[in-house]
Amino acid sequence: MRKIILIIGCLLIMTAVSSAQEPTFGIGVNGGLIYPILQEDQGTGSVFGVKVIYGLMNMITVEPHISFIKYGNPDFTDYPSLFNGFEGSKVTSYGVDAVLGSSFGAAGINPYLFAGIGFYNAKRDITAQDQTDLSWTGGLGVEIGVGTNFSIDARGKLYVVPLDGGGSKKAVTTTVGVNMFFGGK
Amino acid sequence: MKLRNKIILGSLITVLLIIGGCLVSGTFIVVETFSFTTQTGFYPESIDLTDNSVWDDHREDIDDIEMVGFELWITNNEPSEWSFWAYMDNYDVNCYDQSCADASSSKFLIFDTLTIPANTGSGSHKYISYAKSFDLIRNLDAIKKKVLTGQFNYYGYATGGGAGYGGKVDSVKVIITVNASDT
Repeated sequence: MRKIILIIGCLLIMTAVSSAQEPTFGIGVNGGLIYPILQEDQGTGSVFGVKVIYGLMNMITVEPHISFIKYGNPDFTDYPSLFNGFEGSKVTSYGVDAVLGSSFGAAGINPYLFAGIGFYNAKRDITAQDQTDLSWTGGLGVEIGVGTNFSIDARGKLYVVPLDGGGSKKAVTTTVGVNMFFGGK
Repeated sequence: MKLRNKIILGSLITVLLIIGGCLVSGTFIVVETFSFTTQTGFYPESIDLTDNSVWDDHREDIDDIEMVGFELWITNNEPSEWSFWAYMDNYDVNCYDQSCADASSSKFLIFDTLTIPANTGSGSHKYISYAKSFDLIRNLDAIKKKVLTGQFNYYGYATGGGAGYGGKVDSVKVIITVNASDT
C-alpha cells in the first residue's frame, strides 16, 4: 500500500509538471496544536509540519507532506494522578493531500478544502508502541495572500486512522503556517 | 455566491456528515480497583469487569484491548526484604485458595518480581505507578486476550520478610485501554 501511494504521488507530480505551461509549486511550514478525539489515553499536544505544493490544475493542488506530532500526557479527570509519568505518543504522519480551492498566494482571503491519504506512525517508548497504520485526512483552511509569492495559511485537519480490529483513532490539528511559491501563476 | 465557494460549502457539509458518522468510535480507559483480605503470602481475586460501569457501557462495542497496566500499593512491615509477583488465570470464583492456584495449568505470569525493601520504622511502602508497571508486566498479549473476555482470576504471590509475612498488598488497580466502536 505504501508503494502504491508513493507511485500515485509521483504520477500526480509528473502530471502537474508535464501539463502546466509554467509549473507552479511552493513549499510551506506550519505549526500548531493537536486535539485527540475520544482518545482518553492521549492529551492535547503539538504538531509541526512541512509540505510541498504542486499546482495540478485550476483550483486544485497536491501537497506531499510530513508532520511531527507529540501528544500531551493523558488528562483523565476521574483519576487525576493515574497517568503521571505516562507520556503521550509521538507520531510521524506523512502522505499526500489534494486541495480544492487553493489560491497559490492570490491576494485576499481564500478558503479551501482538502482530503488526503497517508501513513500514521505512532510510538510510545514506555509501552514499546511502534505502530504504522493507513490514515485518511481532510479539513478546511484559509489562505491569505501576502505580496506575490507568500501566503499565510491557517487550517484545521482531521486525521482518521482505521484500526485492524475495527474502529478508528481520530484527532484534529489546528495549524498556522507560511507558504512560499515559485514559478508562474 | 461564487462557484468556488458553493463547491467548498457543499464539500464541507459532506465532510462534516462523514466525520459525524465516524465519531462513534474511540479509545476508553477502564479502571478496576480491588484490595485483598490479607493471607499468608497469597492474594487472589476473581475479577468480573461486567460490574464495571465503563466496561459495561462499551462491552458490546469493544474492538480490541490496546493496553493493560497496573497500579499497586504495597507495604512491608517485616525487617527483611519482601518479593511479590502475580499471575492471571481463567475466571473461577471457586479457585480462591493457594492450592487451587498452584495446581492450575492455565495461569500465566503477568507481573514479574517486585522487591519491597525491609521495614526500618513505620513500614516500608512501595508504590508502582501505571507508567512504571510496564517495566514489570510480562505476557502482555495473553493478558489482553484474557481481559477481552471480561472475567479473569488474579493471583498475587509474596515471599520473604521472615516467617510472619508481615507485608501487605494494599490495593491494585488494573487499567485497561479499550478501542470500541459502535457499528
